[in-house]
Amino acid sequence: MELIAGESKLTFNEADSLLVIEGSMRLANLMEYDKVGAFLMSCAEKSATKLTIDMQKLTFLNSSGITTLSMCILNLKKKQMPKLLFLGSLEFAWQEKSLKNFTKLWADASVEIG
Amino acid sequence: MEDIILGDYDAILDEMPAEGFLQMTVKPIDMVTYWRRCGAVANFVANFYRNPHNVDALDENLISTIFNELLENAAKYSTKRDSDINITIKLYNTILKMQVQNVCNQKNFELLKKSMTKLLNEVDLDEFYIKRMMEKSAVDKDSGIGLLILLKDFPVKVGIKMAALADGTYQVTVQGYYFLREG
Repeated sequence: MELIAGESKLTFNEADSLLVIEGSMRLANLMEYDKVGAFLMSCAEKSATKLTIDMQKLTFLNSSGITTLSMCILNLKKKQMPKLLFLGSLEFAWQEKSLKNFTKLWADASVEIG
Repeated sequence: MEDIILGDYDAILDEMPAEGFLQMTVKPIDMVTYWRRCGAVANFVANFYRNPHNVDALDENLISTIFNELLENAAKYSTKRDSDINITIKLYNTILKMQVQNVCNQKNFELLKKSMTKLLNEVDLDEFYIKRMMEKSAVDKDSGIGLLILLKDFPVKVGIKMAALADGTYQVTVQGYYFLREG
C-alpha cells in the first residue's frame, strides 16, 4: 500500500506492520495532510499490536505534519491500539529535536533514533 | 496604533556589522500556488549559510527547518497575494538572524497577536504543546504551532513587531535567532 504526498512517499508493509515515510514532507496545511492522517490510521488498523513508523529517510517534516502525526497518536491513544514505534536518524537533525514530542502524547508511543 | 513588539525583537540591531548578508523578496502568490517553493527557498538559505566556522553539517537541516516555518507563516497569512514577503538573513559570528516581513489583514493580525502573546508568556511549553494538540478545532491547531515547536525544541529565540499601515492592513516582521553549534 502506497501514498504519494507532495515530495514524500509512504509505503506500508502489512506483513511486518511497517510504515516507511521518506522524502520531504512539507504540505501546505492540515487539510492537505488529511490524506496522510487517513493513510496512517488505516495502517494502524491493519497492525495487530504494534505499528513501526520508519522515518529515517524523511529529510523534512513541517509543523503541520508534526501536528497531523500528533493528532493520529492521540486518536490511537483513545482506541488503545496499536502501540507505535518511530524510527529516526541522527542524519537529519530535525528528527532528534521533534520526534521526542510524540512520546509526550502517549506512553505507548516510543522513539528510537540511531 | 503604536507598534506592538513581542519577544526578542531586535535582540541584535540591524546596525551591527554582519559577516553574512542575504536579502530577497518573494510573492505570496508564488508560494501558495506552488507550495514546494517555500521549501526550495528554505533549502537555498540553509545551503548558503551551512557550516560557517566549521560548525557541523547538521546545521543545514536545522536552518532549513527553522526558516521554512517562518516563510510558510508569511505565505499563509499574507493579505494580498501579489504583495511582498521581504527576507533578510544575517550571520553574526555563531548567531543567524532570519527576518521575514509580510503584510496581513486585521483578522490575521488579531490571531497572531493573541497566539504570540500567549506563546511568549508560557512557562511550560511542553505542557502547552500537549494542550494545543488536544484542542478540538483544527484551525486553532494550525495557527502559531510552527513557532511553538521552534521555541520549544530548537535553539531559537523569536521576536515579532506588528505595525498598522495607512490602508488598514498590518506589517508583520518576525525575527528568528538561531544559535549555531560550535564545531
